[in-house]
Amino acid sequence: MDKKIVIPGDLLSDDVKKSGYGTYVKNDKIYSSLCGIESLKEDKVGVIPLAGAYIPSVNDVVIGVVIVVTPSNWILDIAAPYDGLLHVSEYPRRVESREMPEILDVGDSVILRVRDVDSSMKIELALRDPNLHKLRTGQIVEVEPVKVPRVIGHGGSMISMLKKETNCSIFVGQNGRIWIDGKDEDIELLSKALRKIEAEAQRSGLTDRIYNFLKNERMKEKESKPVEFLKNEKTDVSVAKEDHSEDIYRKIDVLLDPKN
Amino acid sequence: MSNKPENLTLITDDGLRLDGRRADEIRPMKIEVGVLSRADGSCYLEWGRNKILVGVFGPREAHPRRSQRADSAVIRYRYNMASFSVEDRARPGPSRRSIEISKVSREAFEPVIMAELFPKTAIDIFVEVLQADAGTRTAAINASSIALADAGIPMKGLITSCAFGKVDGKIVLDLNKEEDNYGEADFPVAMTQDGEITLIQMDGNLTPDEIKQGLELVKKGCKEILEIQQAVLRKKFETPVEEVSEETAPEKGAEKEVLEPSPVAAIVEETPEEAEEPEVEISEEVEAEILASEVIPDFEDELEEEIEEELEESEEDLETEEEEFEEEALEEEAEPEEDLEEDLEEDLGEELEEEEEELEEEEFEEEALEEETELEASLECAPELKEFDEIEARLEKEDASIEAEEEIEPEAEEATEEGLEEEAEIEETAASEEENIEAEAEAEEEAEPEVEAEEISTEAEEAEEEPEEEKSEGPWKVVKDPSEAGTRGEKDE
Repeated sequence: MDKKIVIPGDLLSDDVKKSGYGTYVKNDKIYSSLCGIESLKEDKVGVIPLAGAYIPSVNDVVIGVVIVVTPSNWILDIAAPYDGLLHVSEYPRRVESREMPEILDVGDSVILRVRDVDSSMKIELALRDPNLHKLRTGQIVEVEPVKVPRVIGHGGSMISMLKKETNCSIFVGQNGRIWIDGKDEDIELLSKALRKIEAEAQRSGLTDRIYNFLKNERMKEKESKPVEFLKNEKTDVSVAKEDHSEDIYRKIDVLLDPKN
Repeated sequence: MSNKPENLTLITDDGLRLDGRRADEIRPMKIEVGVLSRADGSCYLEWGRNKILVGVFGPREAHPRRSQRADSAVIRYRYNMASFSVEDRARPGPSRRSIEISKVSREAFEPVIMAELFPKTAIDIFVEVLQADAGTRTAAINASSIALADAGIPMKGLITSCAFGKVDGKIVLDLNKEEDNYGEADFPVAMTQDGEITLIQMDGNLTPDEIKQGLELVKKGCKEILEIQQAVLRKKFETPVEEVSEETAPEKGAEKEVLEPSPVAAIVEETPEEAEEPEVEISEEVEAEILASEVIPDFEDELEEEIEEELEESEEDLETEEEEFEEEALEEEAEPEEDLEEDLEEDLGEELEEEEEELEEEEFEEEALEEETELEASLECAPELKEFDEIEARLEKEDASIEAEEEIEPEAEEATEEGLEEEAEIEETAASEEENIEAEAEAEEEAEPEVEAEEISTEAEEAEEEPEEEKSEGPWKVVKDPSEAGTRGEKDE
């Protein structure tokens, strides 16, 4: 395996100019500041974190949950140490402050873009994009933010496979919130798969692994379903019989009734 | 130190201590990482008979708000001894001792935690001593260090801590309960892996020489502990190797790119081929394009629909306007075209204009961040404008003078700047993708005042530079946006 695990304090390089993400420089040497996988590029040495919170950065697309509605802002929880501010002016159309709760109320989930992050970590969000909107159906699954790239997969291979295999729509927010929608059983299967991705994030061949997992689950479902179906049929039949017999008895009764 | 039983020998003549260790040996240490599911990072550590559980939370919003620091995170360290952790039940709650230990331990971590990365937040470290057997603060620091790393908090290095003391006149490493109680001194030390000391305390009496001697011991002890800590952490994050697959390399590449701090969130659509084949390493640009392109098609479709609808209505208007149009056309070829466009746009209504403005705004924003995005956007926008082209074509059939315009086009380059400008604009709207590039190439030759045109020129450059990548995008039939996915979606309008 060429993936080298580094932990805080590991020496990465002697070339100060190459210092990248997750590193720090001390005495003209680059050290790691995170637990993660060493990533060596021609001009940069960095660490791909394997743990850590989501820290918003500009233009991330995230899924947020409204926690407060103020006269001119919605305050959203974006699964980060900081709350996000969505100003009314960032809503696609003009909104009076009294109708704000009708549009987005506490508890509503929204896909948003991070518009700006300033040095004091004030997170400004925006909804002015055709891709961004309120989520009305489906569920939200949370995974660790550092595992988001695994859920997307190499160039989107994982996410497209998941979509194809489960017939669900998925949207992966950069903050680790994943929106999924589809049939109930599909959603269930998909969230299982997502949990599996999260648990096995560092393994190689993850996409194939998950593909097989989904196939197996489907097989199990198919195997288990016919049994249920038969059972149902049996009960149906017996019920029908009873009805039938009762019916006949009634008719016989009627026929036998001397009054007719 | 007091009332030591008469018959107790802490160190035998052959240098063995009560638990059979030598003077320079530490107690056996056992560490587990990630034992608490609700904590961001956690660690359970057994060191001799010490049992310590550490949970790390954060960075998270600091409460109360006045405790926040505008420029860095606050680190909060809470050392607490469970009431059952010692032989005589300890009074629960903070005591003078635990408050002090909390403070010095926090200060032991402050130099290494990169708190400035998380302004206004708090990093909470909770230490519970479940069973105490001397040296709990050092054990707690060792455990906290691992828990912090487990939580993904950036640190300059791990903190390692170990104590030495004086027992029966001898300097020994890592005291246990009896040695602590009946020894002459206890001297806990915490240090970074470079040997920089972040905590130092002393209880008892030691001479400078003894301290020097003891510090050497501690360094050795800390080195051993550091190795254990590192091994544990590496093991935690290690990839469980089962099958060695060829995919590893490209996968790593993907990880790098996607994990970069500011990727656009991806919504990728079904690409059946892709699921199976581990693609050739896709360059960053292509990936960026893929990501970027996902954003665009949605409003493109909308725009197209709108244009289609409204163009049909506007065609009649256009017909009537043709006469005017002809006259003007004779005077100057480019101008009527412009008029036509204007008329068209008026007819199409405000919505369309707004839509386009928005579109442009977005283009600019994205341009600043990802040039590829912009390229994608412009190219993808081009086709829908074919509608204009069609109408123009119809008009051209009817009007010879306008037909002539096409012939003049090549000459246009020699014509006035104004004319050229407008020509370029016409091309921009009218052209199909390849034509568009040509037009942009034309536009490139002139220094045009309009921002739009500038944009085009840069686009043209890019387009010329990377046409292959355009194609290589092939398998990535991007993208249906989630908002289109039938079951849900609707924008709030």
